[in-house]
Amino acid sequence: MQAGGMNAEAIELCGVSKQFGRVQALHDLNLSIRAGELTALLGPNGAGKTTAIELMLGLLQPTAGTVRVLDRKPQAARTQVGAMPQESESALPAALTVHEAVTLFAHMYPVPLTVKEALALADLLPLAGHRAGALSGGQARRLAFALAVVGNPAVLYLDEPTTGMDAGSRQAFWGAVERMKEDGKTILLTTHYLEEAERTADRVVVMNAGQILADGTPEQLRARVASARVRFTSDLTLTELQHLPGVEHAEVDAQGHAVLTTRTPEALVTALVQSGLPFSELEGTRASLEDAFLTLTANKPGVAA
Amino acid sequence: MTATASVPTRGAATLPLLTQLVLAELRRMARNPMFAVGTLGFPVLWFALFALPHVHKTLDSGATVGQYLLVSFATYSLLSLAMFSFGAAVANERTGGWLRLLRASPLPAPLYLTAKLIAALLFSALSLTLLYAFAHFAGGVTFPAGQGLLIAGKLLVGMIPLIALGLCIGFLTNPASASVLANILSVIVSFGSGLFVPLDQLPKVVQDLAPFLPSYHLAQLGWNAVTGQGNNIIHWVWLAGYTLVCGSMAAWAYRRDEARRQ
Repeated sequence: MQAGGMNAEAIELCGVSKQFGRVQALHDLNLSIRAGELTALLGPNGAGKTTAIELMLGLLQPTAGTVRVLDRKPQAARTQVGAMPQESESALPAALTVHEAVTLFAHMYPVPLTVKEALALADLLPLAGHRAGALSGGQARRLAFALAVVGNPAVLYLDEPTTGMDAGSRQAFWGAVERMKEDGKTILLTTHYLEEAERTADRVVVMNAGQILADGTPEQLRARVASARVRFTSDLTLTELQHLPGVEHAEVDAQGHAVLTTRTPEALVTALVQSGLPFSELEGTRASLEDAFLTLTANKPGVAA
Repeated sequence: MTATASVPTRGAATLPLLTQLVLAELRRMARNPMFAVGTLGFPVLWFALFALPHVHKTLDSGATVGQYLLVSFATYSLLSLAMFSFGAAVANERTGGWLRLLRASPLPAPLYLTAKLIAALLFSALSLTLLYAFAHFAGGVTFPAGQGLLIAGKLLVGMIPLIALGLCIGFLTNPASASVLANILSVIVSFGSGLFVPLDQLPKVVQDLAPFLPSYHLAQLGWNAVTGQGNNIIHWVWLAGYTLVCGSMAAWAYRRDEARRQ
């Protein structure tokens, strides 16, 4: 089967369970990753994200169920796959220069990018002659990214890609990911930075304790929480705040800084204004993916193993 | 970079990939000063300290002591290269994650090992050349070209079980114990095989244990080639046996690693 055609599913996990000794890392997981989409896999530590990626890479075998990548076994799909593993600094060949390491990986793939293209994508051209062992944490992450993309793969796995990158690197990195997406690559990423997932992902899959809790676009997930935060400073007590219309949750500190959660921020602010009480520093934010994520993972505190 | 878009079916071309892998290995070895000094410098240093004063004596067989000792220290250099390049280095690559990165890539595992083997043999050939050059110019030790090449060839082929032993250490131990083991094995085993002091000058117990060591058999092949005496079959059999046992153990440890996390 040719990649990049109308084949809608790039990756399919069917009824996949994975057990490490007594620990059930994945529990009857069913997940299809559509071709050409950027899917973010979110979840607290130990949710099974990395285990899922390792199964898709063929580094691990499932205890039960099947894993297919580009309609093949994961091992047979490797020439079409690039992977940036989690915290891979120690895995990089310290004695090689950036250029040499990328050249080596380019030779592993049938139709690679040029080394220069890969270095440019990872913003590494000025560092091409540096030894991999002498790179900073963020630079090493970019080298890991260059090694993942130099094979021009149809499927790209990025496990916590931006950990250790500074703000500038991070921005350049997401620019590169955006270009890979425009190229029609299928991208699966895990991240702790939810605002990044919110901005770039077509689809978000929230996992906890080896199961899928939620699956949808970032908007759909936010809509499930459907709440907003209203902040202001006033003399109101906690009880008074809780009695404002539509307040679901209220917090206030000793200086009178209040944080309210509500589904109807407009009604709340109207009531506040009409009450005539003095307040200042009013600020309203819609629910973020992070709120949705926290709500989702807090409501279901893991499945008993 | 070639812009020729070949058919995106199977894997990449094998030979250019193998070349790149061998180059990467050679760079890794050459750029690690401790490794280069340890494997290239120490054999020359030991030869200068322990062998140089005796090179002009002659053995009963007519061969010179210099030739005999050159083989001893050549064997030592191959042993220590195998222990460090395949023991300590593989343990590092395994626990550091480099092997895992390669395993997720399209690189076939046998190609990785083949490249390591070729690079180690090339580096060993360099080490033997340096040692010979030193012995030749500093001590006047000489082999006829044909005999010299034959001995070097035998030593390099016979080095394969040492490499298998190194792989065992690399896949079975952590980096800290691997480098300690590499040190201990290359010194103690060399001593026990009669590489530093001829076996007939060592205690009986060492003489009795020596025939169980792979480097003893490797050195015997070289010594026999110097003196033109002795039967080599038994030594080749021992070395083949070591290759089989250590190779199987290394393969088992590699699979165990693959099935395990991290």
